[in-house]
Amino acid sequence: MDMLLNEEHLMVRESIRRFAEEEIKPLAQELDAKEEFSVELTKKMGEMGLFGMTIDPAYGGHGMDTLSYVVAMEEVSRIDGSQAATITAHNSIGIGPIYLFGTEEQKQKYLPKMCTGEMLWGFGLTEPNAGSDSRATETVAKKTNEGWEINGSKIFITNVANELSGGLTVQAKTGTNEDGSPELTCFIVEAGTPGLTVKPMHGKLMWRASDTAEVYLDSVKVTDDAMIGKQGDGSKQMLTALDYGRLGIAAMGLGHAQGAYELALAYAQERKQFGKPLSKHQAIAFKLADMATEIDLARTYLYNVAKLRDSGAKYSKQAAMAKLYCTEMAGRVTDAAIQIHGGYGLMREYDVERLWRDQRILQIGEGTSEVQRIVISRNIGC
Amino acid sequence: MFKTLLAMALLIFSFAPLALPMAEAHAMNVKCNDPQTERGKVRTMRETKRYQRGELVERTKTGNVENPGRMIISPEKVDRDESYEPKPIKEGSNLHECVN
Repeated sequence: MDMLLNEEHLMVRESIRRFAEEEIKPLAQELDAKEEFSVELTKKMGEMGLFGMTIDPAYGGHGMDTLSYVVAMEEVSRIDGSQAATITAHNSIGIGPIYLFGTEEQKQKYLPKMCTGEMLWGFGLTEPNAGSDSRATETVAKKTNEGWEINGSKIFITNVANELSGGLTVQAKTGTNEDGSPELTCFIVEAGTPGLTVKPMHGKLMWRASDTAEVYLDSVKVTDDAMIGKQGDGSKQMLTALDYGRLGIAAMGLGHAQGAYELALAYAQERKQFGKPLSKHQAIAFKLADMATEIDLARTYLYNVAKLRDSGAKYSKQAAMAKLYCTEMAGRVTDAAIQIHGGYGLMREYDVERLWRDQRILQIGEGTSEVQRIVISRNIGC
Repeated sequence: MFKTLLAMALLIFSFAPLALPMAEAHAMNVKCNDPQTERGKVRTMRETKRYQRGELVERTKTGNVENPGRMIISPEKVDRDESYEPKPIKEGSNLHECVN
């Protein structure tokens, strides 16, 4: 595995592992229990350099490659899903549309603060009636003399309802294409814009310490300068950002699996039943062997896809495959880890319980497993 | 008897050169598993990039009393500080080895 990593990747792993152990782990259980988004911890993650990792230094980023980002996400997720969610949502789908498709003025205005974590950004795609079918967007933007007026709502949006939120990118319908399909366009909507309301969502199974919100846009007025790229390019922009996002989510699955596996192995070595450690019982030993094997396979593939992205090659299919496999693998591994822990694994006092909850969204968020299979099947000629 | 002792002595001395590299390897293990900057905080991504560009150098075996063996990164540029030598980064060495 480490053959794929250079010295910089290894340095990133060491630093982020230690940061996660020292700064995130002590708070993770409490923040999860309270459903509390920590501004202070988010700022520390910003100081650490976890935001804007792959962004050009000219815009305040760190100029690292995709594999560094994947390794960092893996390490944070090994400890906690909520903080990893804040990071990956901001880095990939938050920053992505502006970085990849924004004008030079938009990049200069927003990216430097995004890269320090002073400003978090949301990805306004999902709607109450437009989930996997993201082109069914009901939010509408109408042209006015001054610019555009947006009406609609979004749901399950990360990073828009905390004091660091700078705004979000909104996909809205701006017309109808010749073939009858909706013309979709992306707009920058800054926090505090009149008509923009965000409502935090509570009662989540997972990512309880991350910021998730409903967004309402009531006659929100933006200027022409707020449009990202060309009119009608919105869906393409969002899907491109999601390709990158999927690598982050895949890394989260890998990290959760790694964390749960380590906890299960340590527990199995310590816990004695029938006169010997659990790890000496073949049923448990084989389970752990399967977990280790799946994790290693997932890691090898994900790292290769990260390198593929940096090569400039098209990687939609591979990103979907990585997301599909890593997240479903995380489901299997964290579930096995709970099984090894027995009754203790069902208690909130044990970190493995949180990792099991946190991984569940990964098979749903940023494209369900079913959507990944659609992407893959289309790419193989089905 | 003398020949046996001579043979044993030759055998011991023939392995002597390995002792230093092994000691260094151990020091690297300690160092790279414990990344910390002079600020007393974990090395940031920006510092990592600066290190890779050669703008930061790691000060090994500095005799940091509180944390012996910890990786120390100095904020000074290499050409402005002669108190320690910049460590060349080579593929297959240093952190590579210690992790593998």
